[in-house]
Amino acid sequence: MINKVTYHFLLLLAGLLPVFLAHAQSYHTVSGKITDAATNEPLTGAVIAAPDLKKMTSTDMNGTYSINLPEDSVTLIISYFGYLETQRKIFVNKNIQLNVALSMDVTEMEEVIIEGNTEKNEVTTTQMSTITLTPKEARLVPALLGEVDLIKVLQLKPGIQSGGEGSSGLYIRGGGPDQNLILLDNAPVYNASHLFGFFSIFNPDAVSNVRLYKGGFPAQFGGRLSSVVEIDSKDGNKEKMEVKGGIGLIATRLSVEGPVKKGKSSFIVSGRRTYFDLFTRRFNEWNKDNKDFQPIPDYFFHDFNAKFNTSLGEKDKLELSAYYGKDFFKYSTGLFNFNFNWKNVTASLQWTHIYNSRLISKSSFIYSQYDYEIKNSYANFLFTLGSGVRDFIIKSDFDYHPNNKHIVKLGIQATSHLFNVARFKASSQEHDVSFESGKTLNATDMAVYFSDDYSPHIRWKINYGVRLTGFINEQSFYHGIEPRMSARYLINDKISLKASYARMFQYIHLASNSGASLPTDIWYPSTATIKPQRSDQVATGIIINLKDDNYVLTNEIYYKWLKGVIDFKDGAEIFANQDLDKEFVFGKGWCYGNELYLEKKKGKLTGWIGYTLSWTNRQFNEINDGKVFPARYDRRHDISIVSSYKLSKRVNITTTWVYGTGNAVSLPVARFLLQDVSATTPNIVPIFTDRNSFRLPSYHRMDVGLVWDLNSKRGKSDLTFSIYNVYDRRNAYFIYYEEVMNMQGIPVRYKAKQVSLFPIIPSVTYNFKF
Amino acid sequence: MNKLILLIATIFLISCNMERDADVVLPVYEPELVVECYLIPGEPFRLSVHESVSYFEAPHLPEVNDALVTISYKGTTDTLEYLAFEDPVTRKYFNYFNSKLVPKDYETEFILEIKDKKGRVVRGKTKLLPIVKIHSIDFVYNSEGKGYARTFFEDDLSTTDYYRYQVTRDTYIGDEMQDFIFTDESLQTSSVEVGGSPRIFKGDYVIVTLHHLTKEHYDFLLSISYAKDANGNPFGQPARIKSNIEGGVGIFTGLSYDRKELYAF
Repeated sequence: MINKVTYHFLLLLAGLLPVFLAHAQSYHTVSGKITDAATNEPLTGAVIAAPDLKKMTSTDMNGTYSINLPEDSVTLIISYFGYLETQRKIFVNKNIQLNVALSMDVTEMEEVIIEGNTEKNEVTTTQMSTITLTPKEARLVPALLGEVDLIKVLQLKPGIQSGGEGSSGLYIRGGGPDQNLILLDNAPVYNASHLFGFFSIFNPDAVSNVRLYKGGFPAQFGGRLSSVVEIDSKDGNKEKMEVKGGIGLIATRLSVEGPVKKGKSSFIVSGRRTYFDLFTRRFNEWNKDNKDFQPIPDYFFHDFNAKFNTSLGEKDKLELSAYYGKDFFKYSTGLFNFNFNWKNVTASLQWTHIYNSRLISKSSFIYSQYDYEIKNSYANFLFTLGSGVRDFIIKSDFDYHPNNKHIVKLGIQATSHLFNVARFKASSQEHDVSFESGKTLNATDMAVYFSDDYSPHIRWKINYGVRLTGFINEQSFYHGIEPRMSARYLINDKISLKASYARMFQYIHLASNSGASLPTDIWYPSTATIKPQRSDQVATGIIINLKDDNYVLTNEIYYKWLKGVIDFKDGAEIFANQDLDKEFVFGKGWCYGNELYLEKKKGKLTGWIGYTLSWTNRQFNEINDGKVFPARYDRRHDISIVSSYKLSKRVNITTTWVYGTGNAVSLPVARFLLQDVSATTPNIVPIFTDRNSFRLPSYHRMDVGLVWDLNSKRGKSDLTFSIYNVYDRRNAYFIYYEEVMNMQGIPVRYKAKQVSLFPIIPSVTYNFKF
Repeated sequence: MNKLILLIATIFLISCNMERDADVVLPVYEPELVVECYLIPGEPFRLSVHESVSYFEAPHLPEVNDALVTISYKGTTDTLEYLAFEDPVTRKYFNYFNSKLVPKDYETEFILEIKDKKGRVVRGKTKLLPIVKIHSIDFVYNSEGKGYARTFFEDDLSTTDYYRYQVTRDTYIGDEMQDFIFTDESLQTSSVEVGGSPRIFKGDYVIVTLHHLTKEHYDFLLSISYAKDANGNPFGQPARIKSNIEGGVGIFTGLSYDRKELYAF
C-alpha cells in the first residue's frame, strides 16, 4: 500500500513540476529579517501580514522571511508575541529588502505568555505536528532540582513522553529515544543527556529556541524515524555587553555575550557546572576512618557553548558555533576504582549568502563526536572500555522564492561517520595478562532533497517534496526514496484542516537494552546484516483559533508504520561486544493515536491542557514467540496540564500536573529451583512469559514553581522556587520480587516491591542578568 | 554491563530509600515440569523432576513422584525408578535413579523422555563431551596477601568450546571463590590461562574444577544468569530460560570436568 502511495506521489510530483516552472511571474518579492530591537536576536515565528491582500507569512529559525506581493502600495503588519506590533507601508515595484526590529511591549510582558507556536502562523502554514519553545517560556515551568530543562518542557506537550521519572529522553509518537534527530546548530547530538539521562545537555542561557517535528517532516530533514529536534543557540547581543547567570542547588551557570563590532558581529560564551561533588568529597573525607561507611560516588558535569557570528557585508553572514560537554563519575572503595566519563563535542560553521531577494543559500561544515570511556581497576587488574561515534558533515541548502505561489527548498548533504565499537583492554599490573578487542567502522551517508510550498488557492496550500538518501560502508550500500507531503485547507482565517505523509529511513542504530538513555548506549551503522529502519507516518488535524486568538485548539490523529526496527535477542550481550550485529533482531511496529491540545495564550492566566490517547506495538519473530507486544513506553493515556498565573508585576506562579498510564514491563510469573551441578546455593530462577505484559502503576505528579523578580539597580534578577512532586507521589520506577526470610534465614514467602526515584524536592535558584 | 548500571542506580537509590511493597496480580499459572539431569561417565543415571510454581506461592519443592522416566542410548532404554535421596557429597537432591552406569562414549546420543500422570511429556537429547585437562595451577598474590588461582589448559582452536571454571575452598561445595562460564570464541591462542579476583590466602585448601560444557548447557546457564539479573534491575532485559528439553524447563546434559585439589602456595 505504501509503495502505491509513493508511486502516486511521484507521479503527482512529476505532474506539478511543469506547472511550477511555467508559472507567470507578475509579482515582486519582499524579504528580510525580523529581529529584537534590543539584542538584534532574530525572532522566529514573527508574522508578516498584508491584510488587504489576505496574505501572510512568518519568519524561520533565522528570523528571515519572504513574501510575494503584487505591484501595488501595500501595508505590512509585523507582529510577534510580547513585542509591539508595527506597520510598514511600501510600494512594491521591485524586489524589496525590508528588515524590521521589534521592541518589547512592556505592558504585554506583564502578562505571562507560555506558548508553543504563533497561533496565526500555525493556522496558515502547511507544517503540522510541530512544537516550538524558547528558554523564556521554559523558565516559568517548575524544574527538577531547579535546573531548567528545555527537553523536559517539551515532554509536557501531546505526543511526547519521557522514558521514566526525571528522564530527559524523548519518546515521540511511539518512537524510541534512538529515533530522534537532535540538531544543535545543525550538528547532530548523539547523547543529549547529562547525569545518566536526568538532565539534557542544553544550557537554557545559550539557547535561542527549540523546534520539534513529530510528523509531517520537511524534506530537509532525515536520518531518524520519529522526530527532529532543532536547537538554535543564541547569536549574542550585537548592541551591548550582557552577563547572565544563575546559582542553583546543584549547578551554577554563567553566560557572557556582546558585540565584537557593534551591529555587525557578536559572540556568546556560556558555561555551567554541577557542584554537589564538592560536598560529597568533603563528606567522604570526614568519614574515611569509618569502616562501615560506603563512600558516595563522585559525580559532576560541565558544559560550554560558544558562538560567533558576523555579517560580511549586506549579503553574507558567517556563524561559528561550538559545544563541549563532559560527565565525570568516580567510585572508589578499597581495591575497587571505577571511573566513567562521557562527552559530546559539536562544532558548526555556516555561511549564509543572499544572491538576491529570491534566492538564499546556507552552506555548512559540521563536526560531531560522542565518546564514553570506563576505566576500572580491581586489585591488580585494570580494564578500559569505550565506544563512540564521530561525524564530519558538509551540506548546502537553498531557499528559492520564484513567485508568490512557490517557496522552493533544495539541498544536498554528505556525512562521513566513524564508529568506534567496544574498544576493550584488560591487563594486570604486572602485564602478564593482557587482552584487547574493538572494532572501527566507517560509513558515509548522502542525501539530496527538494520541496515546494505551493499555494494554488487562497484556501489551499500544499508542501510536497522528496528526499533521496544513500548509505554506504565497506560491506553494503542502501538507498531510499523518502516522499514528503503536507497540505492545508483554510476554512476561514481562524480554522484550518491539515494532513501530512512522510517516509523516513534510519541508517544508524542505537544499541541500548536499558529502556533508558544511558551513556553506554552504542551507535552502530547499518551493515550487510543490519538493514535500515523505515517509518511511514500519516497524520491529519484541525487547528482552531478561538476568542480573538486568545485560545488555540488543535487535534491531530496519526498512524505510523515502522519496519526493520531493532531489539535484542534474549540475553544479548551489548557491553564490550564488538560484533553487535549478531545481537540484534529485527521487527515491525505500529503506533497510532490522537493528540488533543487546548492552549490559552493571553491574559494573566495562561497555559495548556494536552491529552494523548495512543497505542505503540512491536512484533519480532524472535521475541515473545512472534506475538505482538506493547512497547515499554506504550502509554494509553497521557495528560498534561500547565497553568501560569501572574500574581503581580513581580511574581508569577506556575503549576504543572502530569498523568500517564504506567509503563509496560515484564515481570516473572513463576519460579523454579535450580540445584545446578552442586547444591551449594540453590538458585531461585524467575520465569518470564509474555513480553511487557504487566503495567507499572499510573504515573502522576504535580510541580509548582514561583518566579519572583527582584528589584535591582544594575540589571535584572529573580529568585525561582520550585517544588517537584508537591504531593510526594511515590511513582514506581521499577518493580522487583524479593524473598522474605524468617529469623533463621529461611525464605517464608515472596513479595513484590516497587522502587521510586524522587520524593518531594524543593529547590531555589537565583538568576541574574546585567 | 547491567550489573554496572545497577550498581550506580543502587547507590543513588540507597540514598533515597524509596522502596515500598507493591501489589502485583499474577495471571493463573500452569506449573511446568523442571528437570535437571547431568550424565557423568562411570556414575549411575539419576535426575530430579519437580514443578515450577507461581512466583508468590509459599516456598516449597513440588516434587513429581509419578513420572515414567526413561533414558535411551545405543538401542537400549533404561527406566529410572522413583527414589528420593540426597547425594552426601554434592548435597544434591535426586528423585529418579537407575544403578546402571553412564557409559563413557562420546559418540552416543542419549535420549531422555519423562511422562507424568497429568499427561505432561518432556523430551531431550544430548551427547557427552571429552574432558579438557587442567595443565597446571599456580597462585598470584597482591600486596595484601590475597591471591587467585591461575589455571592453565590447552584449548582446541578448531572447535568452538564452552567452559565453566569453578574454584572453591575446603570442599567442592565449600566457599565459592570463582564461578563463571566462558567460550573460546575470542581466544587467540590454544594455551589458555584463567584467573580471577583475589580471595585466596596462602595455605588455603583449594578445589579447582574446569567443566567442558555443551553449547546447550552454556546457553542454559547464561539464560539463568540473565533471568536472575532481570528481576530487580530496571535496565535488565527480560530473558527466557533456554532449556534443551521440550515440554518443560531444565537441562539434560553430560558433565565433563577435570578437577584438581591442592593447597595454595
